[in-house]
Amino acid sequence: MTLDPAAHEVTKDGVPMALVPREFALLQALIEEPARVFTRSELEDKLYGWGEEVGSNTIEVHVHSLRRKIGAEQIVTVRGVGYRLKRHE
Amino acid sequence: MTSIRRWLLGWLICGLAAAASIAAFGIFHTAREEASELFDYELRTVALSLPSNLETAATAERQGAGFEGISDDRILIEIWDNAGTLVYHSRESPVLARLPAGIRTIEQGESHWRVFGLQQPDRFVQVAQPFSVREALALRLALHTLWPLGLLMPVTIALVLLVVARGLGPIGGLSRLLATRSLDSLEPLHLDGTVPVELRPLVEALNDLLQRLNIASQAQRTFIADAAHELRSPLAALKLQLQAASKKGTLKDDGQTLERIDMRLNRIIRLVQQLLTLAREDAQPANEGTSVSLRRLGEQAVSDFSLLADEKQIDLGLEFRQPVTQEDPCNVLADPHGLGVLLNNLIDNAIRYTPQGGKVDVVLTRTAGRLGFEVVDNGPGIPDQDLERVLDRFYRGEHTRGTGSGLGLAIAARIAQRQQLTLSLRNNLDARGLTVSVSGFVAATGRVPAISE
Repeated sequence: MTLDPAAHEVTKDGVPMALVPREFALLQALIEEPARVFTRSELEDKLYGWGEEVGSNTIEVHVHSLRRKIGAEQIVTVRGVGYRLKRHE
Repeated sequence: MTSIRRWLLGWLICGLAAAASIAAFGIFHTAREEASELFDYELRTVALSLPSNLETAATAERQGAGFEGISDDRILIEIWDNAGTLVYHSRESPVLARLPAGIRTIEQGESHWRVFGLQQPDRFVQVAQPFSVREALALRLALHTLWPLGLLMPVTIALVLLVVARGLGPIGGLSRLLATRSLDSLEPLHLDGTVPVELRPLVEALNDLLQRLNIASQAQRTFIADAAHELRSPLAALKLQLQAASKKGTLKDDGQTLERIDMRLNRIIRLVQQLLTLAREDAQPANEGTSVSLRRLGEQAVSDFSLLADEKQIDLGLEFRQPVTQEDPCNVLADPHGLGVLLNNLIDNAIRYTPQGGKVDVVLTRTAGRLGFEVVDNGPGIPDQDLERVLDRFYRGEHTRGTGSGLGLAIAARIAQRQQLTLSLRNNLDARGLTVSVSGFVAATGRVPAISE
């Protein structure tokens, strides 16, 4: 899976994937720091601008839809904290 | 056991009592003698002042009744004329025979008498008083002079008790000050104007001892820290060389030996790290806490161990026990660095001893207004007889498997102690595993500085 930030394009096994901008931003954040666990509020800050109204489970919704597209096991839930990318050897 | 207080009180009170007794004895006797002299003087006065119209027996008999007033003190009066005839006596019957002039004590029948005889130009007057009356009066008089002394004694004893208690106050204060000192406080005692001159040498000697002790323990800590520090670089170099050699294949073996060496090397490196941490924690003075968010701390620690837990397929997570909610920042006053080391040690321990596929929870708690956290695993737990000892440095229970250094819990306990927190271990009641709880945080009320990312 590759993410091209300039082209705003994600390809998996050479096949481009259709991601909405917020899903793309979410994936980009996770990929940029693959070992880091992002808390929900950190992800909210990355996905939404200052002062934007964010629903209580917005991040969960985005994570859910992103998982459906790239595979559920790619994003690991850290219980009580947030999300990180699956570790690749 | 000797006691200055008891000694002082004993000697002061006994001494005062003895002195007062001697004084009382003296006063009593002097008063009695004085009274006796006074009575003699009274006898003489009575004899001298008897009116002369008692010359004749007839008038004496007639007016006898009028003199009853004089005999208040049971004074007996007898008068003889020059012819030697008893012309007057104040009692119905004559009691005493005529005696020579002058004052003397005689014994008549059962009682003693004090007698005064006076030769006047035309008669002989003899005045007498029973000794028992004199004695009774003298005794009363003497006793009357003693009551101020009797009043003085209790007042003096109360004063002595008060003064001794006050005088020994600084010693009590000093021992209280020493008793309430924390275990690792080796700072010298404060020597100010309130310390009495007598206690100064003691306090100075104590301060000197404390200072020497402080230097010695400082030297020991420095040695451990230096040794651990010095060991770090060669160990890291050794590890790098080993890795390089095994990659290049210059070391020939069946693979197992190298793996084992690598494992042991990791253990030594970890031990040295832990020693360094412990030495640092020991050396740091207890500092004032800053506002720390326990939730943020928990998130950080769980994140840091997320990959390691993943490797062992352990489900590591942060939980919130009612009344703590996920939105609750749980701000407390604490030393953030020490607290991080403490929590990391606990999580590291839990992951180390929990088998593959296990579960480790960091739980934020609030009981009776005090915040705290628990690290709960579902590993093997610790046998009850070892629960107390696992906090000791380098103690590893017989059951222990794995690669622990025996310092992790000791470091955690040390940090908790330094920050006045309560660290306790218990085996889970309803399930397998161990719960380590840290409690006693003081909730921070002020604004929490923005969390740096």
